[in-house]
Amino acid sequence: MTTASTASRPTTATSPWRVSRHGVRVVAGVEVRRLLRSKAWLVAVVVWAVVITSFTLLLLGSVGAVADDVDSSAVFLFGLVAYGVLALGGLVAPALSATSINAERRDGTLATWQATLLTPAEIATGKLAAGWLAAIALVAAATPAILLTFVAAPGMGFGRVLTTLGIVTLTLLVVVTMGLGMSAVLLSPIASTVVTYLLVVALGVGGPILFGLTTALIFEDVEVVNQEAVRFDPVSSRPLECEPVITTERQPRTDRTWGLLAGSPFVILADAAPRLTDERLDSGSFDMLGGISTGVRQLRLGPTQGFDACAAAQEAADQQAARDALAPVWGWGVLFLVALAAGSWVLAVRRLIVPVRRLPPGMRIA
Amino acid sequence: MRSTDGTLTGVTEGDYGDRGMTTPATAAPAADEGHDGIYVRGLTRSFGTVHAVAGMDVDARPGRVTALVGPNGSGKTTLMLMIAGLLAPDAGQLRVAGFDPVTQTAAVHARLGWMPDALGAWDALSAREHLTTYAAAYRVPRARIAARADELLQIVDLREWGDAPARVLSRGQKQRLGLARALIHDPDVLVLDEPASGLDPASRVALRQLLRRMAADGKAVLVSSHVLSDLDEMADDAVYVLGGRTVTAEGPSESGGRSFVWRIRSLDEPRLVSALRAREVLSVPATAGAGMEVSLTDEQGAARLLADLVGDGVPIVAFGPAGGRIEQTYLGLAAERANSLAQPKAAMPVPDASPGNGGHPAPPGTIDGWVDEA
Repeated sequence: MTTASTASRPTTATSPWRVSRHGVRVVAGVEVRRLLRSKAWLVAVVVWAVVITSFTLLLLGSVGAVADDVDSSAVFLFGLVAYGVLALGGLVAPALSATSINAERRDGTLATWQATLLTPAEIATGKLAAGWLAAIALVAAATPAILLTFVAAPGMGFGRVLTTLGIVTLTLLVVVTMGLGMSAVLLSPIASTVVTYLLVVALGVGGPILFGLTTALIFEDVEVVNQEAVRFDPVSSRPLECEPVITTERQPRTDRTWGLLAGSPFVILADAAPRLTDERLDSGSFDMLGGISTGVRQLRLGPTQGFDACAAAQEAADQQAARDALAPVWGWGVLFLVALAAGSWVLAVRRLIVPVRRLPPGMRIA
Repeated sequence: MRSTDGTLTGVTEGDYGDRGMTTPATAAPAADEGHDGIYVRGLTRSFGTVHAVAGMDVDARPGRVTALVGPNGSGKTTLMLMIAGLLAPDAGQLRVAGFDPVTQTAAVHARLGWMPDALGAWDALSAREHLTTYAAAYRVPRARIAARADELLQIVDLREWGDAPARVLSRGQKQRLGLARALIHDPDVLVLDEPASGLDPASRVALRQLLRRMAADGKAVLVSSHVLSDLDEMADDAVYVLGGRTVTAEGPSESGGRSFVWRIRSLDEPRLVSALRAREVLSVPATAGAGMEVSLTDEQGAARLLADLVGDGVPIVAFGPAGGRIEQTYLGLAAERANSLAQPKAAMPVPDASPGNGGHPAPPGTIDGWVDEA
């Protein structure tokens, strides 16, 4: 028997957090091959693409039939399709990773990984990489639908297509990472799948719902600075000069709770989308994404900035300039998502470290 | 399964019960800390209130096959998990190939081949893909991986099945794949948990030969099995565990003062019985099959008895240990333990009687938790 001794045998422990390309490729290679060889996965991708595309075609068709003017509603439609892809993606993504560690524990293949020279971080990252590839495949399968909607409203600018694809991809990667973390922490594949779904719901709409529910609790007497008109144009009766009038009003302090909105991928997507130019807005199209974005940005400022009679009477272009000057919130949201993913990854790696010191009740090593 | 109701034990006095000398087939080296096999002293590990391993001393030396014998739930698998660097011990000393599995985990993993009792396989991947994947995971140089996988498929006789998905492999074939997997990185130390379970007779013989070859190559091999006759044929040393403790650690060829049952078959059984009676050797009819059983303490006594019986003109056709040495030692230990549990002030303390680890007292004459798969 010939020897196949390894080139260099370590003589110490390597850090469990070390990640090498080689290690990640080995783990991801197994995961990807398993995925590609399961017919269920191929069927799922095809069904997904068909559902998204027909949903889009139906929307375009029905709005076209009702409004006889797809173009003016197309900006709204684009927002709808973008949200649809995001929501459906969130429903599918947990399936890509939510059992990836505990199912291998159950099948007895995890311990044999752990007994090799792969580090826990490589095992977690390899599984993650495979889940991410699958998520990116889903986004790719949904891209035709998004492009289709864009073709109906090309004036919107291609930037919206790119941000939509970017935020949807980021969200799915984060969901996949949370699924991996749950599959490492929870022993039962069913439990980790259910918990991941609950987390997805909490992430998407939990924050906004909580924001709505807490509004009643955050009413406070605040000094509101309203700009009130003191001089009017005698002809048009438009306000020409305004003066600050400070009044005390009972208003919700949304400047304290806006963060509940900022973490939702729906808000992030809306806020990250490039703002539309005047012409598009003036053509009478309703920009759902832009509206949500402006709303959240104003909520962030809170009630202290009151009504400005002079600004309200300005030209539309100036109004838009004022809206665009509001600080964006999506950066915070992206930061939150990245932190969630990083935390889930750390959780997964920690649960894969051997030798195991404290064995949770019910957990078997092999 | 033999009964150990005490009919035979303690009846072997006379000329054939010489306890003075034992003849180990191969002399075991003196205990030392320096060997590069598996060195375990005072190892403990509990899970909550269950003391799965409550004090084990094990030496599995390079160049030798060491049998790990004990009932289900006696802590064998837990011990092996600690050796494999997957589970941290609570206390005790542990060295594998000269390294500490807790603080030098990667060093141990690089030198240890571990085969778990229940091998998992990815259904969609072929046997060959399993082997190449694990080879890469053990950082076997890329250029050697394909040849190494081929070689191992050949060794475990899975060549024809090498490219079929693992889901079509039988239990025994998966077991052989697991063995190949444990060998993929040419480890110095092998830890095999029930490698023979599910194997057909020919594969079991091949497994024995393979493990002997591994030992001949200088590897330390620790193997647990419930097929004690297999262990008898391949093991140099044996470690017995009961209730999370190693009871004795001795070569199966050493009697250690205990008596072993030998089975004698003759063409003329009445003549055999009378000859035995004439020589004042107590005998009983064999519990299974034909012949008589006698209890002897060592091989010299057996050789003398055989010579005497042949000299008496008894037509002997078979004369050999009934069951193997390991089996007899094991059953003897288990019976001793059962007896000591039956008496409150026993010489042999068994402090741990937690459920789930085989520590519950067994009624005399039965071996608790034992499942004979042979």
